[in-house]
Amino acid sequence: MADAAPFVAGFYLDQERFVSACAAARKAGHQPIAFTPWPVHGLEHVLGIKRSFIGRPVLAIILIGFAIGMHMEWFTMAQDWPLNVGGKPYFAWPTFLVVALETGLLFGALTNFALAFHTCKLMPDPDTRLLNDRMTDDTFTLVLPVRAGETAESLSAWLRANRCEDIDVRGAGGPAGAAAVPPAPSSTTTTGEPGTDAHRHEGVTHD
Amino acid sequence: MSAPHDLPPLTAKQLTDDVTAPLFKLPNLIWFHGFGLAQMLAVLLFVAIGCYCVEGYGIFGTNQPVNWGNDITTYIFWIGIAVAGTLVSAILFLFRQKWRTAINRSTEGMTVMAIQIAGLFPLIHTGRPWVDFWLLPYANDRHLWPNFKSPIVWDVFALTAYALCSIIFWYLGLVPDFATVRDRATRPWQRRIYSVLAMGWRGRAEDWNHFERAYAQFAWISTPLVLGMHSTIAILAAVGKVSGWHTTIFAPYFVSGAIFGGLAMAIVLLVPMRSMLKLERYITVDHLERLAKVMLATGLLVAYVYVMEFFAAWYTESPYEKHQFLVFRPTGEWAWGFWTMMTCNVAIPQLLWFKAVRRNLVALFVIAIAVNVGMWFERFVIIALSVMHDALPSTWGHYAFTGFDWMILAGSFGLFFTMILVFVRVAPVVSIAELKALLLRRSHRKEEADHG
Repeated sequence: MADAAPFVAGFYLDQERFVSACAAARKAGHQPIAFTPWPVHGLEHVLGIKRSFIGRPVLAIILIGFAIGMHMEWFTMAQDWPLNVGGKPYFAWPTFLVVALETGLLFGALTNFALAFHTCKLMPDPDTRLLNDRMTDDTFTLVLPVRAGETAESLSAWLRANRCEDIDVRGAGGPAGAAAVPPAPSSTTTTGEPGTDAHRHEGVTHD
Repeated sequence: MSAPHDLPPLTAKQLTDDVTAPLFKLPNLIWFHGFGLAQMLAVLLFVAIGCYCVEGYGIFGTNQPVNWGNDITTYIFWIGIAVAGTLVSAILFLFRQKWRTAINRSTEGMTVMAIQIAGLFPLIHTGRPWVDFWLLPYANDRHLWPNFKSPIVWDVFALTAYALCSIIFWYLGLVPDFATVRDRATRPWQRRIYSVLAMGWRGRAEDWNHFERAYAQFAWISTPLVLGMHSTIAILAAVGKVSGWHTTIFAPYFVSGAIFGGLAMAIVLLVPMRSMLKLERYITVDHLERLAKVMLATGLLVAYVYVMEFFAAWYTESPYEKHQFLVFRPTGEWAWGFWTMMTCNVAIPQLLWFKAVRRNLVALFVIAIAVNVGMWFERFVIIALSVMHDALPSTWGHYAFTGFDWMILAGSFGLFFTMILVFVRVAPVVSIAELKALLLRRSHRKEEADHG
């Protein structure tokens, strides 16, 4: 995590200001990465995030699971050891529907869970450190990566012009006092102002 | 009546503080007393199971002709509790009932705990629990397979799928909230644990996009699972040619009964929990009143089925059906159980027509306990009384609890409350992120400035 690309983070407490800043950042040609403590509906349109693709794969797996369940019942009941139960047909498909449906839905649920973890890049991490402890509490974060032709100063100025409450510069030699403080070992007080506990690092540029 | 979104202005920080506060401090004396009592009861369950493994199934009162007694009754009782939690977390979600947000996490916790306890009972009931894996289709030397034409095998699959799905659905919803707890934990060990549980959640907009889709899909998957699971249990009884079981009304009857009893259990849990954890602002009287209304509606459905069963028994002219419903249940040796069921499930819930009763938490709590008692007796009346007097009078017999039956019944409650009491200490009992998204649509910058 040490060699993260440089970026500037702007912190917002106001949801509407944050959403309009995201819109402005995208319009201005930046590549904004947004972090919100709760799901903000409409933000995906502002940032041009496509509707999650995980619907079709889950449906496909449900159908495959249904087929596997039905096949298992056909194999066990009609193929491997046909057993006459009350004179019913060996392959009595109506009575097999329940188990096949449950198998399909279980496969679908597990796939849905796995896909959610995969798409959100969730992995057990015993020491997750975010930019700011209040990112999961009440603070919205707009991260602008520093790209060629931009400087941390220019991005900070842009964020300030877009009414952010606080700014944090990481990775490159930022403005004095804003960043580059080495991580403190434990200390986790919730500070009054977001972004001020600059020793919190990592977490943002995983991807 | 005011919905949660009409509450006075509230900050996100305040909400986080209120909901996570119980995780960071020692619980009060009431919690310790409750926990101790629950543990003592839970021990009874494990002792009874231990004795049963050594001695065999004969230690319980179940015997010919009552092959299904206390264990299956209690199994269906706990399944019913679980069903109501999924109603709140999945079905009300699909119906866009926003009020569910405040109680969703706690009722789903109830589901997860109840389903595990329910799952224990059929495993006990098999007689040799150490070979319970025979229930599953696995390749074996003798090419023996479970009979998939039997609803009992359907139930194995339905319950397994439902339990797994409920647990992972619950966990997925908890991930962003674990992240919130992680970032507020001050003790390093606590931070480490929640850090692992939160799986590195950061709240990126793209992540929320996928997360919310997955959450909605879980609701779509859970709904047919839960309805199918409880209908399967109903069909399991209904296909048996036993007077008292052999009715087509069973599937909707069981599902509505499950919601009725499960919401009663939700009220029993929520009323003390909201005051113990100081969450009155989030789990409001309005929420409990809405639960009471759903309870009343499903209670009326159950009452309707009771009446229809009598009518059907009279109308079919089957002497055994008529004996079961018109003679044995209301006047037989277990008539007191039948009338307890009628009083608790039909008479007492009618008090919920009055708004003053619905909003009086003590009254609501007492009614909810009565409904729980009534619903246990309902399952007992359906299951045990039907097989006591079936269509072959020469096989009629009696049923009585043994001490071990009492132990597993009381112990199941002990284990349930133990798990619930642990749950309220280690996980946020209100879904923080979801509730914030609901409550804090407006700008909250001004209030934040006031709070410093």
